[in-house]
Amino acid sequence: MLALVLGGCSGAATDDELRKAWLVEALADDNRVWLSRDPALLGAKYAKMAADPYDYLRGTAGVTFRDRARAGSDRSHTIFLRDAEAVEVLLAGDPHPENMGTFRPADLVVLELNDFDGSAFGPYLLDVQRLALGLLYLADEAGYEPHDAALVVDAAARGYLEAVAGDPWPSGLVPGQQGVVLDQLLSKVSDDGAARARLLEYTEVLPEGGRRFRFDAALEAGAGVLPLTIDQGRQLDRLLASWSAAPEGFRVLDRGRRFGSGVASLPSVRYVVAYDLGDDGPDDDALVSIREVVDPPAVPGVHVGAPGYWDSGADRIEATARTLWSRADADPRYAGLTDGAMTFKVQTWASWHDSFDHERVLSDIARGRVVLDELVRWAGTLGQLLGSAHARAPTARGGEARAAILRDLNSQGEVFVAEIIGTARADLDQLRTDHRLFVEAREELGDLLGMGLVEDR
Amino acid sequence: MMWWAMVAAWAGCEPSPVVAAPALGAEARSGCLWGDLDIAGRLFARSPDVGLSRGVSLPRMRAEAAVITPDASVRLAVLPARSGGEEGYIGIAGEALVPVLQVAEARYDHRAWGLSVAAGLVDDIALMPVQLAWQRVDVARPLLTDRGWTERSDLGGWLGWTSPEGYVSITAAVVSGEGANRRERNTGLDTVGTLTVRPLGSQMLELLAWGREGSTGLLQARDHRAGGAALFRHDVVVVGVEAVMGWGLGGDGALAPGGGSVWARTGDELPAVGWLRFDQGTDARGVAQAGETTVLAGGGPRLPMASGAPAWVGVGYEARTMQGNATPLAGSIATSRTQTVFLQLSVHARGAAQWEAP
Repeated sequence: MLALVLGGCSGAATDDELRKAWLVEALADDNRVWLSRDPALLGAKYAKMAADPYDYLRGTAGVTFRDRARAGSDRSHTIFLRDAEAVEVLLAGDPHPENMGTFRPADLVVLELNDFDGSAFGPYLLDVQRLALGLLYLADEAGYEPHDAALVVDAAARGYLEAVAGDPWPSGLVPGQQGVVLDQLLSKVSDDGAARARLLEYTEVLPEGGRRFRFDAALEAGAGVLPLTIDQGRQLDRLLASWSAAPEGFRVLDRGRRFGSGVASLPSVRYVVAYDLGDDGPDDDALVSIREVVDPPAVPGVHVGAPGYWDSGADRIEATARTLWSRADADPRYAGLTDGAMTFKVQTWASWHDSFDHERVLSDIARGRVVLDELVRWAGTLGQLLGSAHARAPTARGGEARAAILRDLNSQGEVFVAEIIGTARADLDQLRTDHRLFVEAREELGDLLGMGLVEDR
Repeated sequence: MMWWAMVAAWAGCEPSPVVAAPALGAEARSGCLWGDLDIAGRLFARSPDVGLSRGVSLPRMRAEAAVITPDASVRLAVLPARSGGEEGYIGIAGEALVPVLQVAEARYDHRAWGLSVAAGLVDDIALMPVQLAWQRVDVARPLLTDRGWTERSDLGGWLGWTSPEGYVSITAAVVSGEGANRRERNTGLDTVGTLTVRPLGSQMLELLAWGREGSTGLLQARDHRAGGAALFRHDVVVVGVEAVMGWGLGGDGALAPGGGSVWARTGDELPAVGWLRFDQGTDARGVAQAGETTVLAGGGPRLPMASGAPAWVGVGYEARTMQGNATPLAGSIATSRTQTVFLQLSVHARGAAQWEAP
């Protein structure tokens, strides 16, 4: 009787209402760390996610993982992941197209994965699915018909298979041979890098020698570089003192805190440091970014009680990058640092280092500078890049991810490609639905999805 | 001048029945300081052989203390939690185990009327009757918490009444619905009611029916439950049968959990412990291939080998099987089945220091 009453009175909610309630809860849990510390920055993150579905995608890797793990819900099934070792491959975590970009070790420009905040051991399919979703979103947003848009995912999946099978993405980039999308990024970083555009944009040389940041008077739309508070200065002192891999002759010229960058990590603490290597002239001046990294989201498919694979969060992000990059020195300044309970990563902040930009890609498609064939070629490149990274990866038990993935694929490459396309389509539908519900929820509950009230209690 | 002497004593100072009132007209008790420590260590091997497939774990650690007066009592229970979470690296002093409050309960018993009232961070009134009968929480939690269908405790309170001789108990609770580890996120309160019938006038046979009207999360996703259990207690064997249905789960109103559990364990008078349990459940009734099955078996001698001894050492087996739509990644065969064998040492020690006014 009670069951009938409870069941009957609970059937009024629509699918959208049920989904929205779940989504709000998942977002609240996923962003708890930011909510507790700096709600205003979380509000800025949510605002960015609300304004653009791709930025929503960037900000919701953890929510996507939760969704994948909702046992019993309407999910895309895989016929893969039969091999136990293929379920625990070292993942990049969230390799969507904007988390891939250029580096310049020595005099060579290379294309690499460039964000390992979400790195963890888990099912290799998760990385492939995130890449496929990002690419399909771009093709769909550009207005391609479903069949044509699917060709983009098809190319990425095939590129992935080729690389895992033993045809890795070549490390060095040669201008004019990479396809339009990659060539444009290469051209931009080459021009800006040679001109030291980022250094000149954010800093100025002092008349008496040295260099300082051009601090913003106030944040504009939540973005800019501000001077450090006393506490921030002390924390940066500790971080720099613990940076054992700092280059020889490292001298700090100026320091600041940068706001408004990124999406998932927008609320994180992000310091920028201008430095030189001992010469009084400006030629050895450069910038590094030292940005906070939080724990990765829980990866579905990893068995209960997964061990601590790394010594610390700093070890996690540093070791993962050096393992998955084609060359460990892709960013010579890259390092993980620890300050108390906080983890940071040091990265070169130079114009040579840049990521793909989804708005730029969409703009180029709209202007006719990038046609479908070029988008397909680019997708194939990104698939190869991810496949190459996985081919270098270990598994949790210390085996070779390549062997585990190949065993799991079991020569069913065509089935794999079809499944990745099907999953990407379902994920895209869900992404657009969730983004709409997210925007609605912010209108109903406020900028922080109602969690501000909870925090105030 | 009044002073208190601490005298090691047990008799006359059992805590009141958990989540139920003492029988109407029950004898008064004396006051005491009550302590309960339940700790187990485990050596295990798990298949499939990936990640941490062999190792040691802490399957049980719980400390409870209570200050009991003849009518009122306060009770505090603490569990360990891995700081930073089970998969995180950002914790306290690395990822140290830290204490977490499980229960912080203020309670008053009016024995003459068979009434009890409790408030604070209180036990779940639907879970605890079965958990107390199952007892092997050091091996696996009972169905409701093992499957994540309810929380062990929550902020709120309950009011209970038990008839003379204990034939019938009725308990009603109002709680936040978010569980012990989360702040309240909405204005809705969960209401829970239980009815326990003891046809023999003792705990030998208990029949339990219960229901919960609840909500979870900022948008008050439904979180209703209904269930029942039959519990048979004997000195040699204890048997339980349980069934649960739900509407909504963990802030996800679209899910509809349901399932049952059948189990038997050795009674307190045997010089050994043993258990056998079979659970079948799903988080989504009506969704094909969404079932999950758990099988537990094991046993070993008490230490020392005598009835009621507080320690045991034994071996156990646990198999968890998920159908394709219940695996962490839908369809993934590699994540659909785990089997664990373990060797475990458990000690559950309790005692009281009675307060006597000279």
